Amino acid sequence: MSSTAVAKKEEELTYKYVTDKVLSMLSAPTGGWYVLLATCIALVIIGKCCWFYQMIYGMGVAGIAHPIMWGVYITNFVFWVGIAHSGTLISAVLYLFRAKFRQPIYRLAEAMTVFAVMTAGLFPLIHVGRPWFAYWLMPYPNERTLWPNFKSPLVWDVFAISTYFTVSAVFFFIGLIPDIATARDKSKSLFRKVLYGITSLGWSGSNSQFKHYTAGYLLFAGLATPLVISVHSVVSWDFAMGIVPGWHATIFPPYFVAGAIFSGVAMVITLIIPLRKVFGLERIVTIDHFEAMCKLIMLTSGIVSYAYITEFYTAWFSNNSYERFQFWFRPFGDFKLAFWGMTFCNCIAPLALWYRPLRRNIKFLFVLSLVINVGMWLERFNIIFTSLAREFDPAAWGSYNFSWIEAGITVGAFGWFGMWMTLFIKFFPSIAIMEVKEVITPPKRHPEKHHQVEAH
Amino acid sequence: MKKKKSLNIIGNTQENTSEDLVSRRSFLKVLGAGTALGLSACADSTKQKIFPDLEGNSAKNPGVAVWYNSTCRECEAGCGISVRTREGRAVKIEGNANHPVNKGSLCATGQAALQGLYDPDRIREPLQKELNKKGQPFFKAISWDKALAQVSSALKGKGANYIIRGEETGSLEKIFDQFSSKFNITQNVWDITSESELAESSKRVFGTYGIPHYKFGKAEVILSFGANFLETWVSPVEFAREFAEAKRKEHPVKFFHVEPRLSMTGSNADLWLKSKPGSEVEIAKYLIAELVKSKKGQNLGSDLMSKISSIASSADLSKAVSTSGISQEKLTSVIDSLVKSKSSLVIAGGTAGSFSNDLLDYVNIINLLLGNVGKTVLPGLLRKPKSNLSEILKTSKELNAKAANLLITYNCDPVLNLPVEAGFEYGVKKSKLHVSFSSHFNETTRLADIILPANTSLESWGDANPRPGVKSLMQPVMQAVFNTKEVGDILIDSSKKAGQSIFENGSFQDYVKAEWLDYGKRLSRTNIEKFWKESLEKGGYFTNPKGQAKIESSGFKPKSKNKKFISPKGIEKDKIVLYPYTSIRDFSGKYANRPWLQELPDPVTKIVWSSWAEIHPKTANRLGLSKGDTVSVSNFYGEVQLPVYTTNYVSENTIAVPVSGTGEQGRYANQAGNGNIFSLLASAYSSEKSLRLLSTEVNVKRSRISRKLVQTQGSDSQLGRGLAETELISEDHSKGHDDHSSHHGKHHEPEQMYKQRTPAIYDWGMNIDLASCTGCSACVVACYAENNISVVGKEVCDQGREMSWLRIERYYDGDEEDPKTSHLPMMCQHCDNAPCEPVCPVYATYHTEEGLNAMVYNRCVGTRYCGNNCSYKVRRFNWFEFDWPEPLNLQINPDVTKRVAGVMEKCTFCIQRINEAKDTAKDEGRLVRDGEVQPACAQTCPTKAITFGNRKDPDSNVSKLGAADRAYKVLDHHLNTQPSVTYLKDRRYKV
Repeated sequence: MSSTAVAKKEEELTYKYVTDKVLSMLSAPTGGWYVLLATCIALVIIGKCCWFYQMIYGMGVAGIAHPIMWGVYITNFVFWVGIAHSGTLISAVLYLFRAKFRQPIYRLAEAMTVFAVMTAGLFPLIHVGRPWFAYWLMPYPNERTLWPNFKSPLVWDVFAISTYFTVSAVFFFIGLIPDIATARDKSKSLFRKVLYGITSLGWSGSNSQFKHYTAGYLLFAGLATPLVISVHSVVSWDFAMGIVPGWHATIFPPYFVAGAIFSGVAMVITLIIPLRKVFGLERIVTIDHFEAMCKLIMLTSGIVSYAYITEFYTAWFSNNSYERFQFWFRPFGDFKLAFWGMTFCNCIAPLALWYRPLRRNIKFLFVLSLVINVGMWLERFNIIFTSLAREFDPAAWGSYNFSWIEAGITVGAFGWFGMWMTLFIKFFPSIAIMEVKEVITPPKRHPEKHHQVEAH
Repeated sequence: MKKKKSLNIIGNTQENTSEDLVSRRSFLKVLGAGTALGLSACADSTKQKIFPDLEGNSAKNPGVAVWYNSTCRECEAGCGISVRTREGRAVKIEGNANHPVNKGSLCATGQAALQGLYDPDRIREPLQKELNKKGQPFFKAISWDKALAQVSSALKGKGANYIIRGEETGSLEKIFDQFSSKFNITQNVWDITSESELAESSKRVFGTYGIPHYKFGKAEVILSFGANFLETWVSPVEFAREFAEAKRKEHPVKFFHVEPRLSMTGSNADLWLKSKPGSEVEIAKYLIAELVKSKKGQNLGSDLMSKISSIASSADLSKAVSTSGISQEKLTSVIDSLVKSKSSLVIAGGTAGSFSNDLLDYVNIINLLLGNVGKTVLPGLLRKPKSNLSEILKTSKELNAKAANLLITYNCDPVLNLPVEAGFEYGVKKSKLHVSFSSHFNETTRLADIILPANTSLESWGDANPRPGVKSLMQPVMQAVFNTKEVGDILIDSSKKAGQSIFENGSFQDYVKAEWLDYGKRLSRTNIEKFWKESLEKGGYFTNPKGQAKIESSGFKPKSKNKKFISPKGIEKDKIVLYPYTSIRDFSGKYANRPWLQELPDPVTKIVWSSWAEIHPKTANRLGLSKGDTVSVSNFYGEVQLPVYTTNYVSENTIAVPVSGTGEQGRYANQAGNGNIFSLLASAYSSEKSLRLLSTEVNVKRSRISRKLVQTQGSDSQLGRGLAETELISEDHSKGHDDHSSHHGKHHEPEQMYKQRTPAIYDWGMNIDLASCTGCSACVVACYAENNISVVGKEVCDQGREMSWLRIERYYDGDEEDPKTSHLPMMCQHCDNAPCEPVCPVYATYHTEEGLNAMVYNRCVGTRYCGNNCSYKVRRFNWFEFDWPEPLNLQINPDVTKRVAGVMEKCTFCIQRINEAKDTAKDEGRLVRDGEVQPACAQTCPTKAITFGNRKDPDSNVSKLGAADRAYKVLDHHLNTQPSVTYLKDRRYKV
């Protein structure tokens, strides 16, 4: 497809088309949707069972052991926090930069963020030895006058994640208000009328409401922007503040943030391609939008690759035998498959995007986005497993045993995330109706033909 | 020293021991195994005491430990023990500080005797074998009366009677002798670790039957042919102490070890020489020739010298080099050192020594030539073992020829550790009545018709005579855990029932007392009752006998016949020699059901739970095997499945296997899943006294069965990281260069950016002298016992989840021929700048004001960040909730919290002991004295390598040692962790 053809199609987009198209996604679910939801719930049940089994018999049913005491759970935690990253980046940062390509994708990205943080937040609980005491990490006044240790990066984590979740959720909700109002006006069932009536907070689309709304949205975008940087920086400090060779590096915060955006954008592509196909959104989410996202991937893939090289360089340059050994171990040691898998997925495969036709090839992009997701999981695996496997004391070196419990919980997390996404697309507009309309040509006024006021 | 309240049983006889006192104290029920346990225990036939009064002796109050002195009977060394009891149950065994053999220390095996006492698979009551409906035998519980009646009626019956027992000394041996003579019973003693051939060789060369007393402390040069004197040979705790003393001297002892497989003892050598199995005798012969050449032994008399010369004449350097595989250069350096030294000690024994008794004779001659006899070798001044292979083989023949009327077995397992060829098992099965007095199941006991379970040594009266001048007493430290009787009482009671009493005046306790009162009389004590009580409190009566045995070497005949390996039928071309050896983990295979010992990593291979087959990589390559494979080791006599452990430090074409017990002993032994390695041996040498462990050849093939090899150590090499450092000393005793990373020779405190915390009064610290540490792992077991550390089992160990707070890291820094082994005890370093502390989100781990890195189990959420960030990897996480099957739970130390699943734990420097000492000091209005607090590891260390104390006090031992030239801190130069544990570099000669 040439760019002129796309431009033509975009010109053809009307407010009515957008409204009808997006709201049609909320129509009565098909059998396929129920199957998807049931699958997700089944996975959640598997994950829950595994977790309960672990709580009853002890952490030992997971594959982690001395000396690799953090494993799949923390890998998953970082992975999901990373996924959660791009939502706020697309909605807030790109909003501030007035990047127009964000409009049709940001809603889905934001939903993904909120649900990914909800998934990520489970893992610290699954991971700790006594989850029933996890609330001790919160600072709260108590009769024992005990406070958490504010020096510990894990406490910072609690703050970073909970702040990020709160702000993302609020920002997400604010963006939804005008669209919920549209859905309210168009919906016929009582349930939906009540649901949207309450959640649209009395939105009428008046000029004064818009004035306050845009100011508020801008404010939240400004508030959310530093969080994009902070949350993954703090997560990276979970590692960088430790003195473990392979963890203790100043490059970690930018490296983690870039990696998070990288994986987040890939996840948006993974989610939006099937959605676009199923609901026939090709005219709203166009190839140009994908190409813009591909450029983000190319940028962040480059940063991530640079960070990998820097890690090796630092290890060599430091002349620190422990670091050097660690970075010899990664490509040539027990976990070398993970290392080379990561290098392929994150550094080599995305290079294909330098070729324009591939950037515009939806099938290729879908596969590539999955490859990147795997690659980013492997990156966290590499950081956590290989570093812990070879620390300072050679007598205490060890390895990892695979466990079905960890696999079950990992799969359950995908189910949990998928369950919320599946529910979301049927209950709320997954494309920002109002913002898509902002970038298309406003209709000429034909009061006798169309009365467009309610279409906001 | 710790103030121990040593009491004797008699001192505890109480006035108000009313029944209702017991019932009121219902908490005691948890202690009970059927009955409430009395503090002062005794056989139930005497039923004297029960829980003591509260008003009387404060030491009898709940919460206060009572110590009993007794004697360890786990091996024949006769170490004195002090057993700590709480609320009437034994919780820990330590060495008796007053005892001349072990001076307060105790080895791993000795400490694990507690798990023999509380073995959940112990025989709990008299059992009789019956057949079920399917015709399969099973054991049914019977009463003591019935059981004794059967024994007594058999005693009255006609036919040959036999007793086969382990080595016993003192009163118990005497009463066994009396019993045997009264009922006309043939007695055999059988114990594979008793070294009776060594005693016999002493008779041949020195004219005195008995194991000589070796004085390791007085030697400048030690040469050992396979004698693992730091592990299981003769008296390991005493020898280890003297060896370490000699190593700590300004001019340390130089130690050479010749053997086909690196043992823990060999790993401590300055030069380890890998010999081909059976070649040691050639080296010894060549050594004699060289000594004769250098005009040694001029004063020995012409008769003896002519015999010696005839040995020397058949010696040949090229033969010694070619048969042993040791280079001429190395042999010359050993001989040079021996010739030049003023005093030396040459020993032979263990598996390598068992191949040829010529070797034992030659070694004695070498000692004569070097003038060591009377200095470092005192003939006949240790025990006189009774164990005799030729006699037990004779008995076995008789048992097979004609069914015995009565066969009694006690404290031995000949079915396990006699070669199959002897046919002992069939003889046992033929016997009309086979009675076992064993307290634990084993291969022999399983075959018994009736079992009259004896008390363990911790529940028994007795005495031991480990060497002249040392009479050591045994007393029960608690009431019998199960419905068992002292073996002495079983003998007395059954003799009474048979109508021919061997002792009229009461129980075996009275028998022992009578012996001692008699002994007191002989010592012409005025108050013999007082002498008895004093001896009980002290743990025995110890003197230092002067004078030495007369040396008559008339019985010695030089032999020249070369020994060969027995090649049973069907041995293939690839002749592989079987080299079974005894280890601290299982001794002679008796202790397979002791979880502490099963989970204790072998000091050299670091393998836990099962036994294994050590094979040289070249041999393994030829056989198409690699580490972790399972092999079937077999010959005409039997077959054993073993996992392969490849190592450079075993001779080629040799398969080295630790001796172990079989699954018959109970659940833990079963979990280890070892086969019977003795079943591969041949019994062709029936004229000798000891079993030749090194004698047969085997076929080695890949097995279809899979056995897991569980190793607890990650890397064998420290990659030049300088964790375990060695200071090399050159021949002329001047200090050489450091072995590893010498850039931080003496520990310099790095300049600190931040203000440092300074503890006010106490700053607890530890010092570990690597020159003294032999790697014996006694500290590891002490730590398990003191701190209620969970035993996790084979499967969980394989996952890397063992809970040991203290591990001994073993590193090889040498080449294929010369291992240069280091043993590095590693526990929580209690860093002043601890990486684990800032990362804990809830302050579950924090720094105390006394410089300790404390761990609050109740506050731990289990994020495990501390474990990740610990540079020494000493934090252990409770992956599961582990249990202590009854009655093993009775051993749990009430002073230490038992941890739940999901929390982190680690070494606390035995904070319970620190607090106890501080309490005592506070009561007495003073500060804790130096040496008053001893963590369990430091207390038991046979070589006193571990020192603990207050670093704030400049006069404390730990401060002084911490300022020594050899002092360094592990990883501190790189990480600035500021550990409270200082290590002193090992010292080895540059050979």
